[in-house]
Amino acid sequence: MKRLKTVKLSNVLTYTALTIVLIFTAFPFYWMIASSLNRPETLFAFPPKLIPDFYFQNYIEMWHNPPGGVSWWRYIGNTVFIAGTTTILSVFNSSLAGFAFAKLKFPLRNKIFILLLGLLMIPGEMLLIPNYVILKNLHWLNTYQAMIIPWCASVFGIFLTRQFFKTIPNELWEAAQVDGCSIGRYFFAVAVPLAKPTLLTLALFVFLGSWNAFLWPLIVATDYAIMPLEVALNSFRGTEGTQWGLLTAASTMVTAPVLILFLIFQRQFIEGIARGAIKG
Amino acid sequence: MTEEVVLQRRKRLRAVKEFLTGYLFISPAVLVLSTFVIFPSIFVFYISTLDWNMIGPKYFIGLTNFTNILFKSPYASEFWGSVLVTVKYVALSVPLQISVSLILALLLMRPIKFRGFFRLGIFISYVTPLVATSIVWMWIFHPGYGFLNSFLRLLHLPTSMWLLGSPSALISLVIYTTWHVIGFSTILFMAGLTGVPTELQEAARIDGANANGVFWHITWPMLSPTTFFILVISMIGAFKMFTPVFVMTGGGPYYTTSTTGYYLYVKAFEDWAAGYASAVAVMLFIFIFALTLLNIKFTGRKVFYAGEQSRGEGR
Repeated sequence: MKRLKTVKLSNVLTYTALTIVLIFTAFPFYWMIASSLNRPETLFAFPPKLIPDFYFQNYIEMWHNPPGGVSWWRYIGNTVFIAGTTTILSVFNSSLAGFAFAKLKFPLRNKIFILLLGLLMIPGEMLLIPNYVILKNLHWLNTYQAMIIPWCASVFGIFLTRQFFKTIPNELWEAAQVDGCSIGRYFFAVAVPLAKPTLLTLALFVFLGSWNAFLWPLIVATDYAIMPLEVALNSFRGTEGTQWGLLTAASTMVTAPVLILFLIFQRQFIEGIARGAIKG
Repeated sequence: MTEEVVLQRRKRLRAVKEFLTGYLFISPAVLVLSTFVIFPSIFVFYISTLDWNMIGPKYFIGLTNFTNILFKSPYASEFWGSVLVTVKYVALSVPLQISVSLILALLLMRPIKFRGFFRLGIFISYVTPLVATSIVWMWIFHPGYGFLNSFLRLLHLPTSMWLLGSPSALISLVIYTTWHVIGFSTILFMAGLTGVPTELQEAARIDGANANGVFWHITWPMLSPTTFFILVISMIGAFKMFTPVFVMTGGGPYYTTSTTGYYLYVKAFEDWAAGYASAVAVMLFIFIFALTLLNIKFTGRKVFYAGEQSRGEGR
């Protein structure tokens, strides 16, 4: 009887603690959306109003005042194009390499793989200046490829796909060989379909990383015509300084796609992180 | 006899084909990584020996950039100042982050209802873009009309200048980044907790240990690799932190939030001192490399997310 009571009490404490943290993590998103739907005078009300005015003028005004004289459509298109292309190329290149390291025999295979793993220790910040110089010499500054090509292979992706391809039994490959199947056909027709869940996880991480990228595009994309959304949002902050209704409306626009994507694929995200951490 | 020769030849041909295909398959990834990771990580050492503004002529000055950073003011005081800011930031944020996320993970591992819902809610901030969420937090931190000060005023508690004051600006950054990463470390702790065998905990409980004893004598020691891993990636993250500082404080007031990562950016892409900034980058690399080695030594793990994220997200 007494035990039952303590169990109940500790459950109440658990739910209370979790709810408090949940409010802390979720409230800023609520406040972002609520502020974006408030009239300017409501924003400065005290005590703050928790229920917004549902005033959509902020979105209209934000939409008609994009930074740099290029329409918001352009920034959205830039981000979608950059993130989409980077994702496709990175997943393709990383899984090709991951498959080779897992299943094909060639000289220096393990040495090359260990060298690539070692690259994970290099902080990206160290590469900023030399990569900027390289891009400058290639005349790639202010081009889309500057934001795509350097990211179209990932060591983490190679590692992740190699782990998966290793689990495919070798008998499958031997059987395919007897039937006269080439390595390329085996990769595309057998290995890749089997690896779909792993590739989806990798694609989500690459897409998210590219959508949220800031420092690199800030440096290499100073031209508004090719600027991605996050960098454009930073410029918008510069021009609309204290217009919090407009700023939160723009922030909502940039954050919403990521939130929706995460809500659809949350299981893959969370498992991907746990897997990367354990297997590492 | 001929049959054997033909078979052997076929086998050899197949092996040659396999190794050619192997090189073909790895070549796109290897080409990209060589050009944009391997080559620049050597090239940066060369640039660090130059006096160069990225446009004009290059002057070779040996290790002068390094001696300036380490010993000569104003460079040394700027650089070590940024290291001190980073260390302060680590001292404030890491214990907070580790204790909160460990408690959350322990709570989430209990047999509770709506676990998926809570986990989702706690994790969601981690995936959202830094500039957008920094803007939202700037509004929350606003000294005059921000939600935080209004809330404190309602409770009759003292308010703060938050991002505009010192030392409150650094504390505000700690609050923001804790908000952003708390879900990530919670997930790692949950993964670590699934590795703690339940039989051990049961056995201790049967032997009369209370929940507190079970935690400190079994769970905590068995979690230590995870804890250490989170400690190291948080420290590395602190040295590299850029975007929240750039958006929310610009390193101010009076450089009190100018972390090493932000200092590197300012030197390279505002002052265009490529050689000097490269030397700062090399110093940053030395710090992070030392932390990584410690981590591998103690946990046998490679710091995956630390490396990839900086490349992917450019924090």
